[in-house]
Amino acid sequence: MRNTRNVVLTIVLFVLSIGAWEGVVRGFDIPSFILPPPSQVGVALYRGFASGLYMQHLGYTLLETLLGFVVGSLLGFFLGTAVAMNRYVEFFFYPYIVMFQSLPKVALAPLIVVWFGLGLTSKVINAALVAFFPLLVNTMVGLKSADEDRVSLMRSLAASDHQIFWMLRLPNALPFVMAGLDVAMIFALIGAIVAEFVGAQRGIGMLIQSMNFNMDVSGQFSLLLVLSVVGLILNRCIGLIRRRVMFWDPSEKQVLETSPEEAAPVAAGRGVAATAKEGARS
Amino acid sequence: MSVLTEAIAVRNLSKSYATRDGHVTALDRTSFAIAEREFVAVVGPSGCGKSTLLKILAGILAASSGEARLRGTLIAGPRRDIGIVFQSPVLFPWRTVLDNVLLPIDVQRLDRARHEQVGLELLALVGLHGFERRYPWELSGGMQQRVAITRALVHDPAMLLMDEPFGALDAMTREHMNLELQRIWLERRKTVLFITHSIPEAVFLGDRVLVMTPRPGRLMDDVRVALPRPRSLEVMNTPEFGAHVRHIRELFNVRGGIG
Repeated sequence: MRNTRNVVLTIVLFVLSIGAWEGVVRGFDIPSFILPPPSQVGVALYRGFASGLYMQHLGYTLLETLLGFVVGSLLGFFLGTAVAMNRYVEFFFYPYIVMFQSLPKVALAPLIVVWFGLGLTSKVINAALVAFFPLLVNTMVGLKSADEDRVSLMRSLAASDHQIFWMLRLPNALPFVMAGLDVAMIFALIGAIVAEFVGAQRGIGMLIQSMNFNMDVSGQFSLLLVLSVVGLILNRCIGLIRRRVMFWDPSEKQVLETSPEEAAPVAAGRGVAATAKEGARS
Repeated sequence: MSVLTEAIAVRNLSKSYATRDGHVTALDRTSFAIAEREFVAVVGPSGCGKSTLLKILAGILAASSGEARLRGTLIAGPRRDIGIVFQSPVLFPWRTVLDNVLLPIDVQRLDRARHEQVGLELLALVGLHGFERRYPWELSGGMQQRVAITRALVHDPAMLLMDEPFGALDAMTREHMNLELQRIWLERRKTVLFITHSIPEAVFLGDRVLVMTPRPGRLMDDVRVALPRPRSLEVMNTPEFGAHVRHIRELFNVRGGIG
C-alpha cells in the first residue's frame, strides 16, 4: 500500500543520507573535530549511555526542566487569570508584562546564576522564567476570547460572574492554555540548558560545554541527538494530555479520522491554536 | 385583550446609545402587548432595533425610558423565566447535547436528575432522540439549532425569545425548521416573540406580525394573521398569505425600502 511504500522510502532516504555523510567525511578527509562521521557519533552515544554518564546528567537536566515547567506554567496561568479577570491587576501589571515580553529571557541566565548559585535553584528559576510567558499570554487571550453570544446567553440565564468563569471562560480558554503548555515545555528545556551553559556542576548543558572545551565534537553531536529525542518525548507527553483534556475539540480527532473531507475544518481549528502559539512566542 | 391574559406589556419603551456622532435612537417609544400563549413575529430591516428590543426583554440591556413587564412584573434584570434562542446555536462544545440542554438547570442549580427526564423528552419532541450523548460538532446546523430551542424550553420559561433563529440556515432547512417550530409551539404553547427580517417567515409563523421602521425603531403596524393552524407550506400560495406579505412589503417601500 501507499503507506508502507512511504515508510520504506523514508528508511531508504535516511540510510542514504547517513551513508553520504559518512562517505563525504571519509572521502574528503575532514578532521573529526570539525565534523565527525556518524559512526563516531554512534560510538560516542553508546559509550555515554554504557558508562551511565549520560543518564545521570540527563536525569538532572530533566528534573530542572520539569520543575521549571511546573512552576513557570502555574505562575503564568494564575497571573494570566488575574490579569484577564481583574481590570486593576491588568492596569498595573500589563505595562511590565509587555516590557518583559520583548526581552529575550535567556539573556537573564548569567544574572540568575550569580544570584542563585551553580546548583539546581538557578536552573529551575531560569526554566520557569522562560516557561512563564507562553502560559501568561495564552491564558489571558483564552479567557478574554469567550464568544459574546455565549456570555449573553449566560447573562440571560442570570448566571453569576463566578458561574460564567467556571462554566464558560475557563473551558473556553483550555485550547489556548494547552497551546501555551506545548510551547512552555520546550522553552523550559531551553531555559535549563542555557543556565547550565552559564554555570553548573551537572546536566546535559554542562556536559556539552565541557566536551566543547575538549574538542569532543562527536560527543556533542551525540548529546544533540539525545536532546532532540527528549524534546520530542516531552512534546508528545503534552500532546497526550491535550487529547485527554480537550476530548470535545474536533481538531483533536484528526488522528482517528483522516479522510480529506474532514481535514479542512481540522486545519482551521488548528489555526486558532497556532495563532495563540505564535502570540506566545513573540 | 384583557389585562389578565397579557404575558408581555411594553409601554413607551425607548433606547438610545451615545456614540461619537451624538445620540442614536435604536428604539423609539414602542408600545405593544402580547397575550399569553400568543406567537408574535417582529419584522423589520436591519437596524430597526429588533435585537435591542429582545435584549431589553431578556433583561440584559436596560431601557432608556419606558417599561417592559412580564406577567405583570417589571423586567429589571436577567430573569429565570425566559428562554432565548439566538441566530447561532451558541452551544458549548465541551458539553454533550444533553448537557447543553441542561445548562439553564446547572446555572440555576435546579434538580438535575428530575430535569434530565424533561430534557430527554424535549429532545425527542424536536426530533433528536438518541443524540443526547453526542457533541455539538457532530450535528448539522439545523440540528444544533434544535438543541438550542430545547435548551430554551428546558426550565419551562414563561416566554420564549427568538432572535432570527433560522437566519443562518439554508432556505430548505429554514422552511423545514419553521414547520418544526410551529409543531413544537402547538404542543407546548409558550408565549413567543420571534424576531426575523423575512416577511414570509413572519407571516407564516405569527398570530400577529409587528412591523418596525428603521432608525429610529418604531412600531409601524400590528398585523393580525388569522390563517388556520397547523399551517402547511402550501399556505404560502394562498391569496390571504400573499396579501399580508404584500401589505407589509408596501409599508417598507413607502418608508424607502428595506435597508
